[in-house]
Amino acid sequence: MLSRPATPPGPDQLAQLVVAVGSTRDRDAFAELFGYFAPRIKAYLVKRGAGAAQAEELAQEAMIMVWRRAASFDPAKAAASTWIFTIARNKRIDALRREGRPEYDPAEYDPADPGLPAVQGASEPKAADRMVEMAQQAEALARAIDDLPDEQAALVRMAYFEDKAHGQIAAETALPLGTVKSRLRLALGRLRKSLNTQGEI
Amino acid sequence: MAQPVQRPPAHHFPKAWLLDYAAGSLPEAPSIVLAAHLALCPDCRAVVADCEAIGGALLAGLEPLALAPDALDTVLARIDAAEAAEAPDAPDAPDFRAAGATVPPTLSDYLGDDLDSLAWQPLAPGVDLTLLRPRLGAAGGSWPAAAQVSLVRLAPGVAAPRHTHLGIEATVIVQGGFVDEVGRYERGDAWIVDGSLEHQPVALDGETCLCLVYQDAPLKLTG
Repeated sequence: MLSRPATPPGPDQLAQLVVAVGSTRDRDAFAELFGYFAPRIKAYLVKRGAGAAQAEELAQEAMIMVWRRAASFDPAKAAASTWIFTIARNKRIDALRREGRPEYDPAEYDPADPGLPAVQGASEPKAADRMVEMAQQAEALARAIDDLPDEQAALVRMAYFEDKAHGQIAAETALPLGTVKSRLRLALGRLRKSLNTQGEI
Repeated sequence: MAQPVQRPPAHHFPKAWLLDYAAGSLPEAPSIVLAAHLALCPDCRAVVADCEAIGGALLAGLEPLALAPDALDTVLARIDAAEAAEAPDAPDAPDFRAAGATVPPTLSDYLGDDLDSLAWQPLAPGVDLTLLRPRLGAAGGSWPAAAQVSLVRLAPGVAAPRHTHLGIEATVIVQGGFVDEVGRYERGDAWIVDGSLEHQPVALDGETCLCLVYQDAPLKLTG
């Protein structure tokens, strides 16, 4: 028999794998996460300008971070891919730009601060429902990205995968800066809509 | 080069900044000011969270690039080695609120925890400022050359010198508030102008106004 890779895990399975690593230090779950995410993180880092050896090293470090921080992952708040994206993004910023970026940390602000709008608590849906919703959102978002007009999708990918300000993107695509900005705004609007209409159905 | 357009200041950051921040593409200098706003603005935080979800979906959609065949074993061995050598957790950093300081946590890496010990430069009676420096030098190249981030302090009720802006200015009110010809801005609000808007902020009564200010070009005093 040819050993072919199984169907890639869906967003709900990925979230459960991270939870298993966080709650029971499940090595098999980690190996599955590694098989899925490590090669994608490496691809991300190479796209953003890392050399092959550096991308390999940083992808490994990012996965070590996934192991260490897995207990802090909340599947009711974000998809596993979102959480791991932020880890890979920050790893890259720390290493490649040798710069600690000021990072907003939700644990550091005071919810009782009178300067902040009240957070509604009573009507919060159950965590399990939110986890299912997050997985559905991730799928809807992936479809919405596939459905973007080519010229919008290309600009979104440039914004995430190339270290370029909008002015540079404009120069490179020979588009006026205003066009770059308005296409990105349109794309962002469509993608956010796909995220925020879920759960209201 | 197009002339900058005069627009009224915004209370929130432009979506393009939020997208770039979430994508990991916004330079350090504007990120300092944006991070201070995010700590106080649930609306902009929600946009950043959505943009991070887009990043997650794009990551999941990438063509995988194989790691070394023994990469998983290497990583597991590194995890084991680190856990065997695990040092006891470092004590938590002191709580900035408990200490009675007013430096928001996103800024304490740049400013320390004691505002009074900073090198304040007087600008006008009742107005002074202190400059923030890149934490790791400009070597990263992502602190735009002409950009400046400063913390500006206005005594209660004091009017700042009338000035105009030659480029983008993004201000986040960290404490207190001010009024100008256009509106009233309070803690957490962002005040962003692109191009030449002449104004004279006046601090609200009762509390020192602290503003974190990013400028990509110098401001010009006009009166």
